[in-house]
Amino acid sequence: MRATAALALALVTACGGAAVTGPATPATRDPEKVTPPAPPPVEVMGSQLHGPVKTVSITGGENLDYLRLQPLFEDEIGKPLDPTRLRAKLDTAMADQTLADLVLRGEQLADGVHLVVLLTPQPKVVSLVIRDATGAPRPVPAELAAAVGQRLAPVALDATVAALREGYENEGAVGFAAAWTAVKSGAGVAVTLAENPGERLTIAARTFAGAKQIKAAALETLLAKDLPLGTPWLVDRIQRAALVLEAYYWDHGFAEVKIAVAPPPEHAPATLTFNIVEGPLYHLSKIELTGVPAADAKRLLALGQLRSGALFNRSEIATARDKISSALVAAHPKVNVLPLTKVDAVKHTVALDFEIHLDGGT
Amino acid sequence: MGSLRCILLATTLALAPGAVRAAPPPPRPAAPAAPPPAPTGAVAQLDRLIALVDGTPVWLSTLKDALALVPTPPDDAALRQAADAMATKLVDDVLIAKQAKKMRIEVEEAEVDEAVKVIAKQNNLDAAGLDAALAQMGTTMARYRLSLREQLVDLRAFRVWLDSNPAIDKAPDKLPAAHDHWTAELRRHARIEVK
Repeated sequence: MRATAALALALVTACGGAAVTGPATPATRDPEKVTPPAPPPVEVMGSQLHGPVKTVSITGGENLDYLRLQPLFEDEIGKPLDPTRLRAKLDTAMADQTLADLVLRGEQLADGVHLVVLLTPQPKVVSLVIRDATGAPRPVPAELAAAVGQRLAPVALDATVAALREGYENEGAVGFAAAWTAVKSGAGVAVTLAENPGERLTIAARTFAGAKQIKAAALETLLAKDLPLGTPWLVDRIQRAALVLEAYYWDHGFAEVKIAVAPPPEHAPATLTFNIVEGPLYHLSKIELTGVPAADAKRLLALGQLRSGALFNRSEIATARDKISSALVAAHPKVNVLPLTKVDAVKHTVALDFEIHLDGGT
Repeated sequence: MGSLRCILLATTLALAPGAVRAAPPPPRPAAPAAPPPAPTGAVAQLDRLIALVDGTPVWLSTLKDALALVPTPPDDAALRQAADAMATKLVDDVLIAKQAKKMRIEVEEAEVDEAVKVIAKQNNLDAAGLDAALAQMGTTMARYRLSLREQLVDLRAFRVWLDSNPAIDKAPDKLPAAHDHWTAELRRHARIEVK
């Protein structure tokens, strides 16, 4: 971010500027002399203003801005100045990005404060071009061309850029980019939308970095059907594949496995790398069932067929939960069975508590 | 006045491996006398934009609030430097929050509760003592919890980024530089308009 010297200077004044202690000295009356111009208003700190908001004026905008913002700020009339509440209103005023700038000032009246909202609307778009990665111009679609002559609409431009990016991503592209800029030009701004469709990649090979206790061949088998080699580099499908791998680890005792997908290469051929931190093997320790009488708890736990000392297996726990729930649902249609786990990272064990809520609560 | 930062740092460390105990917050110097009421006709700037970050406003009042919680700079030059650093941090906070939202990262209320407990324990404070320490720093538990939530979101999003970048050195002493690298990357892809 570029230096904010001007900001800092304003801040020095705002934070440490000398407080005004009284009214300015009135000019001496002398009929022989020309009356001097009125002195500029005395500047004070916001915390020196006192009394409730009496009046509000909104200046600098256009009709639509007034219609939108008048009720928002007139709601302050009769209330004391509250910087936090006012800031929330300023956020609301800026939310649709139809304004380029906004300043809030206060003027001390005898019996309160006059609130002044100074608006700067977005400038008009005087031109709009699209350039490709080489800087060459590309045809501008009609819906974008219609923006010329209108106020700059960052929300619409952001949506256009997001749609472009999503399109590239869905085609398995990497290294793509899309961004817009607005540069002052005459009475408005010149908008440039720069797009680089990047390179379409397909998955040429796969590696499972960090896979030690689970063989890479086993992991490869898991992905062979849903993400075969030759598939376009589709982020959603790759993330889903990482979840499939994680689920496999969870069912083989690795309760703390972490799997991340390495960023794609810039160019083909593309190797998809899953970075795997397997973590230690976990075993089940204490298995409990709470929320029902002890005799029922024993019977229900037996249905689950889980054994203390067994390797942690998330699917088996889920199956046990379903069996317990099925056994209870006839008598308690709203029953909720919560399998709560407590991980002991030192002993590498997981304690399990099936918490039963017969009334469906949590 | 540096106690909040001290506590915030303690939070980050408490959540990182090899957590260290933070020193208890030092007392805050007495607040300066309140300025006199404004005379009739006087005007004041109540707020203004300092930056727009991908359309999200950052206000001067937010910057002033944030600066009020760090040690008072000794002179104008130091104040300018502190203001610049804090303005950059506020911009980064917006970018991190947006990134976390994209990644669907959320922090539960219970996690904030836990962080508050850890910090109180590290500073040998009970709940009332922590409230008092925060009041001494000119803040409230509500605002402090908000700040902790932001830090937890930051930490979580940062970890996701670290996990997907195996080439980054993850040694504890390299993590601040890695975090800077991450935020610089976020800034590079953002539309930041400094007013």
